[in-house]
Amino acid sequence: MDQPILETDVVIIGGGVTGAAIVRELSRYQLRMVLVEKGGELSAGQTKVSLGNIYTGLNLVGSMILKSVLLPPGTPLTELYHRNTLHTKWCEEGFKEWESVLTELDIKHRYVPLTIIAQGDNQIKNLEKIRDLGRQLGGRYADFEQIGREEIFTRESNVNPEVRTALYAARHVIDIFPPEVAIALVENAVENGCRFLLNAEVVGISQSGLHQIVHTRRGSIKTNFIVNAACGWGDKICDMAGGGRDWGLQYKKTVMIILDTRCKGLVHGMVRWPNVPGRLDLVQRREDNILIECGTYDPTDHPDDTYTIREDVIKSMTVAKTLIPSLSEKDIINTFTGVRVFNTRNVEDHIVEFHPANKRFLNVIIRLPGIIGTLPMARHVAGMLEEAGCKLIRKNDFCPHRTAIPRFRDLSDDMRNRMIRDDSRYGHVVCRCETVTEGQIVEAIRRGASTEEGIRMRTRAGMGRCKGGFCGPRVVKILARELNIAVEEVKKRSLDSPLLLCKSKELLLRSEKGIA
Amino acid sequence: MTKHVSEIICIVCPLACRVSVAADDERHILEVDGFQCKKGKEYAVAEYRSPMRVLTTTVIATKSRHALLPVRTNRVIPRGKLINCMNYLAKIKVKPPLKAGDVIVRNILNLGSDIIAVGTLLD
Amino acid sequence: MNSAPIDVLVIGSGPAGMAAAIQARKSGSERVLLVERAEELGGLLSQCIHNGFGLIYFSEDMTGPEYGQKFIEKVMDSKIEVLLETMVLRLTADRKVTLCNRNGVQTLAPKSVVLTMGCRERARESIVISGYRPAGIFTAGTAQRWVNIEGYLPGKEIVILGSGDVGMIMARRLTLEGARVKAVVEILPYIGGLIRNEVQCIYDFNIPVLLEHTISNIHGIQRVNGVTVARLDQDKNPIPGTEKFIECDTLLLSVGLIPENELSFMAGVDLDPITGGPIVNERMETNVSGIYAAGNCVHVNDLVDNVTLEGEKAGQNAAEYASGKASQEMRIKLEAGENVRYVVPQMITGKREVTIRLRVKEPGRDVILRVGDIMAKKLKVVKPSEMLNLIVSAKHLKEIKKRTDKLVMSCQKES
Ligand SMILES: Cc1cc2nc3c(=O)[nH]c(=O)nc-3n(C[C@H](O)[C@H](O)[C@H](O)COP(=O)(O)OP(=O)(O)OC[C@H]3O[C@@H](n4cnc5c(N)ncnc54)[C@H](O)[C@@H]3O)c2cc1C
Ligand SMILES: Cc1cc2nc3c(=O)[nH]c(=O)nc-3n(C[C@H](O)[C@H](O)[C@H](O)COP(=O)(O)OP(=O)(O)OC[C@H]3O[C@@H](n4cnc5c(N)ncnc54)[C@H](O)[C@@H]3O)c2cc1C
Ligand code: SF4
Repeated sequence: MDQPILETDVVIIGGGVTGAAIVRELSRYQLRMVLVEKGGELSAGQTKVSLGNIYTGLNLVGSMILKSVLLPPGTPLTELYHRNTLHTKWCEEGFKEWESVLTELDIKHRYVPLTIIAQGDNQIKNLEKIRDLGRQLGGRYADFEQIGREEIFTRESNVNPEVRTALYAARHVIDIFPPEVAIALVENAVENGCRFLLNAEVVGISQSGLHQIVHTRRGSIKTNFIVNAACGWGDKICDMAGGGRDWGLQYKKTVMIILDTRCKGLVHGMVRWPNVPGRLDLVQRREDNILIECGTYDPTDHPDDTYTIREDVIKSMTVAKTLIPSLSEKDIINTFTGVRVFNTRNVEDHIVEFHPANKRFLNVIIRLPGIIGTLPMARHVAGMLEEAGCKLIRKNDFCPHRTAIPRFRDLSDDMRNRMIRDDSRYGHVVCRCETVTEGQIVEAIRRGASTEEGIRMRTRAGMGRCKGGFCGPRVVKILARELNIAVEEVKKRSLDSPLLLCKSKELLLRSEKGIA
Repeated sequence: MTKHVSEIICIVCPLACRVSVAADDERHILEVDGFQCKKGKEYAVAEYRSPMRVLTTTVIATKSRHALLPVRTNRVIPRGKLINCMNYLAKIKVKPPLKAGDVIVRNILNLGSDIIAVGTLLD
Repeated sequence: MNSAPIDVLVIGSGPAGMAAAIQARKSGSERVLLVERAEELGGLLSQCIHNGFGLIYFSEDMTGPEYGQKFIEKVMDSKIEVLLETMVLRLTADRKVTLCNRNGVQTLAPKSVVLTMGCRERARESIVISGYRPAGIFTAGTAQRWVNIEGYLPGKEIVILGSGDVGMIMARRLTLEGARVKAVVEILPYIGGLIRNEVQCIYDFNIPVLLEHTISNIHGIQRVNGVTVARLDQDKNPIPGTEKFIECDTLLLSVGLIPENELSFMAGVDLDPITGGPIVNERMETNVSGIYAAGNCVHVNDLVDNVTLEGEKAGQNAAEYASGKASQEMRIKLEAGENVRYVVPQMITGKREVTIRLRVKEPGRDVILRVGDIMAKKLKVVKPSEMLNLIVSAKHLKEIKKRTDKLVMSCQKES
């Protein structure tokens, strides 16, 4: 057997928001830990392609109706709410807490209003369903108002002129960038002594006396406990630890569209048609862009099926234009596909339990919405590990604060000058569309970014309309320089995604040799 | 004797006339047709006899902030020799300082043309 | 630095910007500042190492770097202040220009501004082709930078979408470097660029061209491993059953250039929805007083010589503005009519000779180009890819009726 590269108390598998929240929570304790991620950057799975909202109340009610497509047909309204699931519990507990944690971790966020609009009679019926369910549930779920035409246009002036009524909730949605949440949580864990390994796909798990060995593509790790937070891939990881799993996973894909910042004024928050089972239609302001998700839950059999189908994009745009008529295909700057994951045992809930055959292997397979309940989830996981014999001794020097990489674009000129005086690389703008400087890129690399996509997620360089046409070569060269590797070795995301295939003249010299 | 007809697209002006050049087995030109002006006829004949091209490419630079130096032939060379020149130039490495017009390879492959720098190469 | 106010500030140092700066100095401006975000002067020229530049302006066939060098020398000789690796972050309607470089952020208030920011390429993400998001998809211009400046090849087996000049030039360049260009795929029924490039970049190397085809799928999850091409019907929809798989490791896109106008937008400059660039008058002046524009940032040019000429005009007029000369009233609108995609300038005085540049929508032979009812010119051939230049003399302009406030340009078959 190969020599372990590390010895730890806990290995967390999966660098999405779930794994990230768990390491951050566990980093409060005196534990040796490592987070392993198969991708070339954190947040390589569902978290990367998620809509990006922390939401509650009205949107959660809509979400219940949307997801009821997975329940037996004819399930009555009242049964869409499951008071006793971990999922409901964490969703209800989680929201309040985020405000302080987002601030603690210096994560860019913004409360945005939710407006569910309705036009035809059918839609009004569907809207009333959401309204009634919300009111039945009471509390936060009922904390919205129904508004008439005039009111609607004062709040979202560009919606379909035919709308007749709307439900409006001012502070039920927090717009965040999910990868930033995952990365911020891990960065804070790193500050508190935890490690993470990228490109470290777990390929096997074995038992060795009192320990377990996690075999990864970067070497094996000897550990006491394992947490499986690999979500869509979690079934396979679970099987590596032994058989006897009584749940499976199912996958649903939808396409998402991002529009140019030029359109950002078209909506203030999230605007959607009333949810119906299995279908969602929304247009949302996503930081400085517009994000569109108008589609259905299309079944697929693989968590990696992020294949985007052109026809779906076109259909989606057509529906989006019924919400906001002035949207245009011309403004599309990106399209991608997200795969949602549900378990087959109880689609309503998460799977948070020890492996039936291995009491030191904890499955944490989260259903969506997965971000809201992350914080209580992580505490719960810590508790379970403790019960299973993992000693949790608090560190007295735990620091809950993380500072973001400076967002040059958002700073005043005075602040910018101060930064440039300290480090002139902050004066070198590399990405024009998003105004990202060399200083930010170098800092992202210092914090662990090693791929083009990593730089994109951590700094936004290359996320703008030109998609790296100008900054791409410059970013790649900075990566090579800082990581001290050859330019051809820089990857887009994982090890098998090289950007450049050879040096100039190499092919000519090779073919010469071939002939000779 | 057989008559071979080649079609040559005239690139002298945007009209892009399709000029046909008929020749015998020895490649002696028999007739030229389809052009609309004298320049076009001349071009087609020359292109038929021996198509000539300017080669523009790069050579590897060392000890410089630049990875490459752009270069060109200072005279046209036969089209069929472009690849030979590329292979030859793949092995050439240059050092600064160099400026546009500096000769990098004299009389490349005896084709009667020099390879000259078209850009500046600094340390 | 000098503390006198800047007369003319030029944003972007491509051929348009350099010409503008040089001309502004020649026209008497004391302080001219040329700002460039890249590491060197010249804009696109330094990566366009092929020949075909300067045929009009210098009557000489030069490469991009050689053409650029001539102007770089003039910039150096004419006491123009240059700031490299300096990004213009903001521009306001009252001509406050905010710059950022390693020395800091500063805001200047020049008397006039010339916009010469060039253009950017349309990316894969905005043209929506079915597929995953693998590495190995490049815009042709970015690939050109990698190959000609940085010294790397994007791939070994290449398919190119788009047969414009950039696409064709890269097809030849990559072939010469030893890569295999397996196809150039073009949606239109004809090749999009100059005839010279069609012959010398495509036919010379027997590169397969698929006209009326598109790429319907990109294969590969982490790195491109092939594309599916399909023939298009008349409505440009793929015809089922015509799909063909082509194995390749790289896809180059040459699917359009978009004038770069974030700054113009910020300053409230009116943009033409067709060109994507500022609406300008014959002095290359925008609707915002004291802001001028030229080159690819106004409309995408195929010949650098025209870019230079436009830049000179913008530079001269910006200098005049800076010296306090009032601008003239532009009362006549040039409008794109039948088979004309756009016209630049969009506004004229109608009092002095003007060079009009325009593009047609559809190719044609033996057509008549008309400027309202004051001028008609027979043309043997027109193509969307070749910009037309038309000089309308003062004599012709005299024909304009007193009350006319627009001239419609058209380009139709003789009837
Ligand atoms: C389109 C869409 C929209 C959504 N919108 C919202 C929303 O608005 N709000 C909300 O709260 N939730 C939303 N969700 C759900 C939310 O994104 C998920 O619940 C959450 O991201 C799940 O996080 P995770 O960490 O459990 O999973 P993931 O992010 O998928 O993380 C799993 C990680 O495990 C890694 N991994 C897999 N196999 C291995 C291996 N063998 N070795 C090592 N690592 C491995 C993967 O690479 C991945 O990074 C949305 C989801 C989708 C798809
Ligand atoms: C691949 C290709 C091949 C060509 N081949 C030929 C040919 O064979 N013959 C020919 O005659 N013409 C050719 N052309 C056309 C010609 O080269 C271009 O039209 C010309 O370079 C455009 O000049 P420009 O000054 O408008 O823009 P550019 O050359 O693009 O210059 C714009 C400059 O502005 C800078 N800039 C932009 N924004 C900012 C900012 N905010 N702050 C600071 N600086 C900024 C940019 O960095 C850039 O340097 C070709 C063009 C291309 C793309
Ligand atoms: S033959 Fe004359 S008219 Fe015809 S394309 Fe050539 S130059 Fe033009």
